[in-house]
Formats: sequence, C-alpha cells, structure tokens
Amino acid sequence: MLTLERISKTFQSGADRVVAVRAIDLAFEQGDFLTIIGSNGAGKSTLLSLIAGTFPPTEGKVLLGEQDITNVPAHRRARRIGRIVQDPLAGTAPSMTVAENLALAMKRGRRGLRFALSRRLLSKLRDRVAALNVGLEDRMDCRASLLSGGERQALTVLMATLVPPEVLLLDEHTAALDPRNAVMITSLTCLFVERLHLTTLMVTHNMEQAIEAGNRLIMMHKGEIIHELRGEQKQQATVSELVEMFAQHHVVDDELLLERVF
Amino acid sequence: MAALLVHAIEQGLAYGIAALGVFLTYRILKFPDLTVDGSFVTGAAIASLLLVNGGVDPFSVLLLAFAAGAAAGLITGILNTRFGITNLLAGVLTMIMLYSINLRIMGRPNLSLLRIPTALRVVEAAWTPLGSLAILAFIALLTIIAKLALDAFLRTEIGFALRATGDSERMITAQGVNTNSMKLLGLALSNGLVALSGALVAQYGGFADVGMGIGMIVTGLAAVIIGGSLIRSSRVGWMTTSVLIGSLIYRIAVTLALRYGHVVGFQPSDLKLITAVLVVLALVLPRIREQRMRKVSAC
Repeated sequence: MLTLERISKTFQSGADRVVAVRAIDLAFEQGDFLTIIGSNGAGKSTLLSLIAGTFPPTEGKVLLGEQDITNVPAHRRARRIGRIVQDPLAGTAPSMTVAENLALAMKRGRRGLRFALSRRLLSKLRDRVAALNVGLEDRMDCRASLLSGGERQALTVLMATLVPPEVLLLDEHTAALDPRNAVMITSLTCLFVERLHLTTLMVTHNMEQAIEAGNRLIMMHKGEIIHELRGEQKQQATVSELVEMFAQHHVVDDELLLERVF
Repeated sequence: MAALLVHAIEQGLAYGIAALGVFLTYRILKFPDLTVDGSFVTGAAIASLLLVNGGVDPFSVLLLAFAAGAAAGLITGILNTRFGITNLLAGVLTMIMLYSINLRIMGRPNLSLLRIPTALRVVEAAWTPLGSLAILAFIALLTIIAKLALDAFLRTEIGFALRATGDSERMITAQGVNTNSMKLLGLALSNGLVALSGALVAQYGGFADVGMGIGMIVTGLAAVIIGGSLIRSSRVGWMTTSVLIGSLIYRIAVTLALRYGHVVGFQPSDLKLITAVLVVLALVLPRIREQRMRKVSAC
C-alpha cells in the first residue's frame, strides 16, 4: 500500500553535496511494521521525511495506495500519514489544553466553522485518554506546556492514532525520554499499532527494540539499505549479530558501540 | 470630570477593537504585524470617503471598512507566506504602500466629517432615551459584538487550527493544516478589526487623517500587555476581555496624562514616546526578572 520507488535525496549547501538517501526501493503491505536502524547520518530520518513530505525527493516516487503522492504537500499528506518525532514538545500545541489538542487531532481532514469542542466530544475524548492509563483524564483542561515529557509524548501518540492514519512514522520517538517513560511510550505505541493494524515505520537507536518490535527490519548506512530482515529471520536475530553486520560494512560509530552495552 | 471619563471610555472601547486585532496577530498567531499602522487609516479613509460622498448607509460603511482592512492584511500575508519576506518587513512594506493608498482614497491628507450623518450621529438621533450615553452604548455594543465574534471564531475547528499555528507550525502541519492559509486568515481578520476600529474612531473624532495610524501597533500592544498583566488566563474569552480592559485603562491613563501631564512637565506631543517606553519596559522587565532567577538557580 505504501511504495517507495528508487527514491533519492541529495542536500546541497554551496559546493557541498550530501547524498542522504540513495535510490531506495521499499514496498509495504497493510499492517507491516518496519524498524530502521543505522548509524548517525545514515539517512533514516530523511527517509521518513520523504514519506511525510517535509521536502520533495531529488529523484524517485512515493506511492500511497494507488496514488502518486510525490508532489503532495506535507499538510495534505498528514491527513493520511501520522508522524511522531523525538522532541516531546513538537507534537502538541503548548498553549492549548489536553482536550483542545485532542480536538485538533480529531480533524485530520477538513475543518469548518463548527465549534471544535462539544460536550459530547469532550466526554468521548476523556474516555480515550483514560485508556492510556497515565492519569491525563483528570487534566483535560491543563495546558500541554504543563505536562511532563512522558505525558506529552503519550498525548502525541494518542493524537497520532485518534483517527487511524494509513501510515504511522515514528522517528526515534522515545529517544528523548527517561528509560521508564521510554518503555511506557513503546508499549503504548505497540498497543495502538497492533490494535489498529497500522502500517508503521519506526526509526530507533535501540537495537533490542528494533528486533522485538515489528515484522521487518532494515539496516541503513550512508543512504542505502545494507541489510534487510523479515519474519522468522528477524525474530531470531540478536543484537551482537546486528553489530557484526554493521562492522562488516565498516560502520565504526561510537553511538553504535554505546548501544551495545545496554 | 465625568464627561472626560465617558470620553476616555468611548475611545478606549473604539480603539479596543483595534487592540483585539493586534492581540490576534501578536498573541495568537505570534506574528508581529506592523500593517496595522496603515490599515487603521485605510478603515478611517474608506469610511470617511463613503460618508462624505453619501449613498451608502453609515452602518454598511463599517463593514466595508472591515473588508478593506482585511484586504490590506492579505497583502502582508502574501508577502510573507508566498514570497518569504520576514514578518516584520512584510508588515512595514504594506504599511508604507498603504500610506500612499490612503492618500489616494481620501484625495488629500484629511477629510472632515463635519455635518455628515455618520453612524454615531444616526444612533444619537435614534436612541434619544439614552441621551448623551447613546454614543457610548453604540460603541460598547459594537466592541462587544466584535469580541464575542472573535471568541466564537477561536473556538471553531478553524479557530483551533489558527491558535495551534501560532503555537507550533510543525505540530499543526502534522495535523493536516496549511499554516500559510492560517496566517493569511489571521492577518485578514486582524487588519479587518483594526480598520473597523479606524472607521469608528474617525466618526467619533469627526475626521480622518493620513497620520492617525502612526504608532497604532504600539497602542495596541500597550492594551494587550496591560490587560495580560492584569488577567492571566489561557482561556480565549478571558484573554479578549483582558485586551479590552487594557485598552480602557490605557485610554484613561492617556486622558489623564493629557489633562494633568503639564503639572509634571509633559507635553501632549510626548505621548507616543511615553507609550513606547512603557511598552518597552513591559516587554523587558519580565526578561530581566527571568535572567535574575536563572542566575540564582545557577549558583
């Protein structure tokens, strides 16, 4: 349902050219959950940005369903593609309340001059928030800026899935959280992804997480996919195997070694 | 003294509509829009011209002034969103364009409304039971309608999207909103309100003058900041109320300063200097306090 056809992205700044993504082909079935690992600068986030439409690709196509969305602007794609980024502050409007933020997320498509928050909607939203089990249902009138990082990211996850998107992009969305909150957000995300059968792409630095979550895994380096695992192959993979594979491609990255310790 | 106070309140309410416009861009959209110095006069100029020429009923004139201001706001919006000119410069450019346009509309630097049946005069003649308070009642009614309409708009789905645009463009883009459209809409509404205020102030004062908008942005900010420091709330209804109260307090202070300022050696011409300095202080003081707090916590 989501297909990337030989997609490339080159960033140019003055005389410097950086190829962030190099001719990548990827095809997804409905419900596929792909985890993406790779060293810094491998092009993982750029790949997600190309799907979200943050910037156009230098070459190649993005297809969603039958439609070529390569030239559709980000805000129009957002009706069908949800994205959660690393910064917990980036997913919610800080001066608006929890309820108001959720009301924003209810309207992925057309917005009109109806009142955004009816009493009925409010009670419906409160039920959805209560299901998160993070205690936010009692703070519906609390401004998002007053929530903790973990609470804000939990709210962001709910907002991204309130109206199920066709594709969900997770860009290291637990990396800025403390370990306890990271676990909470990860399990929350997996719950929604499974229940709604969402087609999902998740970038992560945590190799264990990359192996545990989802049904597919790719390893990226310098803008290319250097290894791909599926199904059983992926379930049986171990962190040390993955690190070894990186080493075969001469990826010697401090961050990679650091992750191995955990 | 009582008459002086009534005048101050009438002006505070009439300028309050412009302050609501400044609030919409500065506070909600986080877009410091200098167009208002020009669009305020555009509203006054259009209204005065139509009233002097006759043929349009004086209440429709107010709506036409709103529309003209909205068009001015769109110009700034297009300069900013379509051509990538920074928000401050886009506003300044439109403001300068409007200076010439306003002169064109009026045909000369000022237009007198002496003995012209303005909306205020029509109301004064019609609402006789209210006596001398008829004008105050009409201006208050208009201001409250503008406030309630703005409140209602900011509670709609589009209004929510506009508020979120000022908060975090990235976030609201991810919710499927075109932030450029929201900026255009916000700027149009804001300058529409400012022009409506200009049309009202011109009728109240009995003339339109090409220089009457100078410093409008600062006057508007003064109202927003004074009000915001008195009523701290994130609820839309309270925020707009605070803006109107800020405008009233500012106008009363100005009236008193003009009346009694000479006692401490101020001249009427010092007014804009004093207003600007007060706004600077209001903007700078919280920052200094914050820096001091940070220093303490760093130790």
